[in-house]
Amino acid sequence: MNFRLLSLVENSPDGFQYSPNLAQRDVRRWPFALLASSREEADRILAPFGSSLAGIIVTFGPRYTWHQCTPHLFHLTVPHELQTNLEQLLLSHLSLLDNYQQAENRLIEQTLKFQRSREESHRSRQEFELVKESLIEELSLRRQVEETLREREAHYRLLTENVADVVWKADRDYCLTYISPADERVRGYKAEEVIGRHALELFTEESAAEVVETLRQIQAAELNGIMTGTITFEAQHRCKDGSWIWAEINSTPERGADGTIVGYNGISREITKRKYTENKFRMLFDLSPIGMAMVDNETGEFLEVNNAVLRSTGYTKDEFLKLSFWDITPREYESQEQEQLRQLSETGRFGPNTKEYIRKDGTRYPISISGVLFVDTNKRQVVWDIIEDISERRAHENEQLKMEKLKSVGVLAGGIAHDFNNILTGIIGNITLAQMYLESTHKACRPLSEAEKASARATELANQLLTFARGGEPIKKIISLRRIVDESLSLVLHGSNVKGQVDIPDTVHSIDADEGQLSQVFNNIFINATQSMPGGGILTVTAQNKTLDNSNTLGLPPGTYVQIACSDVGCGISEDLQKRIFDPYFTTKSSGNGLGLASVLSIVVRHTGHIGVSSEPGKGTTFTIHLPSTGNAYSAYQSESVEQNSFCHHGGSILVMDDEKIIRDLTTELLEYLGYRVTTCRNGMEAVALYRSARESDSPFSAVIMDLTIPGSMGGRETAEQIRAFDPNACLIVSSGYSNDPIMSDYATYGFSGAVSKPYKITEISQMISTLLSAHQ
Amino acid sequence: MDYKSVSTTHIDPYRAGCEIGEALKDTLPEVILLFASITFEDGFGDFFEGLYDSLETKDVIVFGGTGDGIYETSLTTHYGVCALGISSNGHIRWSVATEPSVGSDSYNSAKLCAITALKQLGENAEWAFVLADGVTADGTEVVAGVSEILSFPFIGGMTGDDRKFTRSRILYNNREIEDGVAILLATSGIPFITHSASGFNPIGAQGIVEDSHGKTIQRISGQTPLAFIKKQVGKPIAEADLGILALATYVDLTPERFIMRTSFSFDMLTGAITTFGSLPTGTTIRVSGAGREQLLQAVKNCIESVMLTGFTPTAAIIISCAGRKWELDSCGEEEVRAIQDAIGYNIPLIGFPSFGEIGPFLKDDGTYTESFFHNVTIVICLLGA
Repeated sequence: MNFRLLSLVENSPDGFQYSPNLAQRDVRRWPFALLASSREEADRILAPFGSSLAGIIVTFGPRYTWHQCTPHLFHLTVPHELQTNLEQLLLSHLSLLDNYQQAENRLIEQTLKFQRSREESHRSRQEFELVKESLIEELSLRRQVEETLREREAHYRLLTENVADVVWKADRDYCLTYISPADERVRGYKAEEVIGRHALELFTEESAAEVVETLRQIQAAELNGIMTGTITFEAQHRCKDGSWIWAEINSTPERGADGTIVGYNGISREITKRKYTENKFRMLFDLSPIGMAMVDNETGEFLEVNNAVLRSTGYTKDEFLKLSFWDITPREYESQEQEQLRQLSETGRFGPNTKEYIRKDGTRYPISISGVLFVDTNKRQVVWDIIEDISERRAHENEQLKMEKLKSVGVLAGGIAHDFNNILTGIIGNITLAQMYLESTHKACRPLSEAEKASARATELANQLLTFARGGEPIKKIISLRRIVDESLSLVLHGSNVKGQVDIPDTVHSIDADEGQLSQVFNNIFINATQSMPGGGILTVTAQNKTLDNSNTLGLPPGTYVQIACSDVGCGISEDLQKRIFDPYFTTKSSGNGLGLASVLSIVVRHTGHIGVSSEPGKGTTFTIHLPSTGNAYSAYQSESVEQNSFCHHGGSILVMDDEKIIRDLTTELLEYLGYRVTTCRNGMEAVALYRSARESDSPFSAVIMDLTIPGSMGGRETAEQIRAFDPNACLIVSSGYSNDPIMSDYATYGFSGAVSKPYKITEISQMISTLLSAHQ
Repeated sequence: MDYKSVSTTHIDPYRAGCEIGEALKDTLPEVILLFASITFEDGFGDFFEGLYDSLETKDVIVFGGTGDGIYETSLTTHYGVCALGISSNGHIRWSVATEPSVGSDSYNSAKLCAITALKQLGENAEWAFVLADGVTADGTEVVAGVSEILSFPFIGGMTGDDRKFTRSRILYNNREIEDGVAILLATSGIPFITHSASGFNPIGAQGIVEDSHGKTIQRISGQTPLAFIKKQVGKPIAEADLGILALATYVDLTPERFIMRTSFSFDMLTGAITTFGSLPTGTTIRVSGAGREQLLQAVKNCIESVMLTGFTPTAAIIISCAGRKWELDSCGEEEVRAIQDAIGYNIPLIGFPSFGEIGPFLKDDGTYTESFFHNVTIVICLLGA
């Protein structure tokens, strides 16, 4: 119990503590009771301690009274007779007072709490008002902004929905949030079919892959802190009807306050027609066999180039576009370049000019270049160059020139060969006559025979010239392969240290071939073989019959052939060279013209044959020739030696037409020897007149031998035509020094009954005339 | 060391003083740490009368201040007085210094106060409690001034009132000091451990203080502070419903170490805000927020960190920002309970809701950072035997 019973009166009742001087602790700490003599005394003593004291002032009085002095201070008067019970009485009152004080304390505490709560509420209210003001202000602002936005939205909607291009918006994940009605017009999709879908769904697969790659590059750039702006790209878009269109897309990122992308805005324009046109021209540009390039007229740098230029120069496009035209133009063309520039500035074009470009590997090649100046969309002066690689043309021109030269040579050679043949006809003919007039045992026979062989060799050379010069069709006849080979081998190996071995059985079939041309073939092969064995060796020639079927690897028609193999043990030919030995002008000899094996191939091919080569350097070479055979063996190997009185003749008169006197004289002597009467003339007109006259005079000519070519006058062909016109049965024989003339090989077509090449042998003439006159009889 | 805590909610200051004095009389305290709400209309004169009348001696250092309530072992309330009697049986020497006009020059006032206290102590101090007027002082400058003199981590707080921000008192030996700073120093011998925690998390982008004068900030990253905060939280500061909005300012520029600042006023017209502690130009800040759960979790984490060191507490002092109890919408009993759950309900404990807190962070290695001025933070100091 925390009370104090204090007294200002001495001899206080029990329980009271007398203390005339009170301290704060006496009266402030707990409720107290103060016994005083009077109320005034108590007030005086308590005055210094303030007005918040809680206690009871007790005085004695006539009766029991209770009076409240302050909220917590009371005055109690008690009759003297209650002194003994005063302590009990006061303690109970003080206990009440204590409770009262504590209750007040709690009340005050609660009041404080209530006050705080109100203050909190007020504060919240204040904050609310503040927030409300702020909200109202913000709402007003927002309303204004919304109004403005609505107006602008209406304005832009009007624009976007009526513009031909497709306007769209997408979120940061590339899903479309808006698309203008133009998309339905262009692709057929309604907006609701598209909105919410991923932008990649608009594209075809191929374009989607390209777009993805573009987007990846943008994302990578953004991650590296590079803020990308508007990008433009083209893509194929799907249409609702299954077709697709090209569109050019301009996409701009929309960024938040912190710079990160929050969406995309864009416009797409259909460019299908433009794309087709572009592609067409791009294809034309890229695939054009003519080189094209675009050059900046100011800097000389290449801006664009097509594949044709790249192929010729060997650069890649990236490499080429880093070049200027000075990088690929040799400096010696500087003055030409300056002139081109001058022409460009004056006339807007230049060329075509011829110059060279430098390839990537440093080699040069000729070009023909022309250019046109124009101004591009960036107001830049650009030159379109047309650049033609004229390497092939140059080579062709050189080839043509060579061919022309060769042709001239050929004509010359042909002319020489023709004249030569005529001369040889005189030589061989007279040799034949001399042989005829001499006894076979005469000493002169052998030299005459050698002279005949040499003349034959000369004939072959002339024919080789003719063959090569005019490439004529073979004049075929059944010949003995063995004889041709022997003769050629004998001729070529004469005087050399190479030994020839021939293994051609009698069972080997004969071949239908041009004897002169075939001789050329063997001559060339044997000459090459001999030259490959400068220290001597063996040249072997074998032949056998071969039957080829459809599956033969030579590319020859099925049938019977003769296979001839010519082998040497010389230096051989490398595999690389083997591919080229039949090429014209190819030679490994310092003095060769490269035409030998080319003419061999040409002759074999014209005989519907095949020639192959196998060789090993250091070991030797074998040429294998397949020629169509007759299917029958050559019945007899007949000596060609001159036999007197072995000629057949039927008698009669023969007209000989030739512009060469020596030919006329020789032929006359030969024919008279054979028992014919001979009339000669120099040209076709004379021949026609003589033939007509003889016919009309009942002494027709049995046969006419006419030279094919009469320079400056009517030749054999025309003469035959005229004679045939009035005597269809005329026996006309054509003769020519051009043994490979088509008329010689196909004489019947031209109205002749036979053909004989100069120089002809007496046996040849005799047999022909005999055969023909027999047929006419 | 002997500690005893006591509290009273008696409205009458004399009686309140008597209750405190009578409770502590038997422990013969050398120092009475005293925190009170600012309820007594006529001041603390009668309180000190009652205190000394009950103690029957004035040979005791009474040191404390007002706040928005009290925390005590058995009581957490908006109104009352709490006290912790500390007795070292003469092993510890104490000194107290006060310095006026902390509002006009917080740095120098605090520095001078520290010098005086240290001089009076006459030997090395190892424990300090700093109080400054929370309504007028710049807490940042106070701590800076004291740190200039005291080389050891110190704790303390900013005195306050009942959320009116109009008056507060430092209480020292029968004196009530307004607009002042005071430091209680002790020599070695008080085992203690202290730590600070807030529970706040930065939620906005970094900003740089570009213009500030004293405690008023006028520009952050090219914007007014109110605009900057609005940008970060998406709403004006008044509308933000993210609990307490505070600014985290970075210490040694690591993302983990930041201290908090709160504003106690803002100017809608200029967009400026005034904080309890100044933020110098160039300071990096981030808007931060914390809700109820984060605040309480921070207290638990803080006391757990302290208890994990193995320290055995025999008393506890809590300085918790008044803003935390406002956010908790209570007297702060949840925080006290969380601490008592860890240290025990019988440990003498006092504290007060302050207008700013002073204390270091306890590092993982058991050492301390420097002492910082905090807002919306709780500073816990455990004292040992």
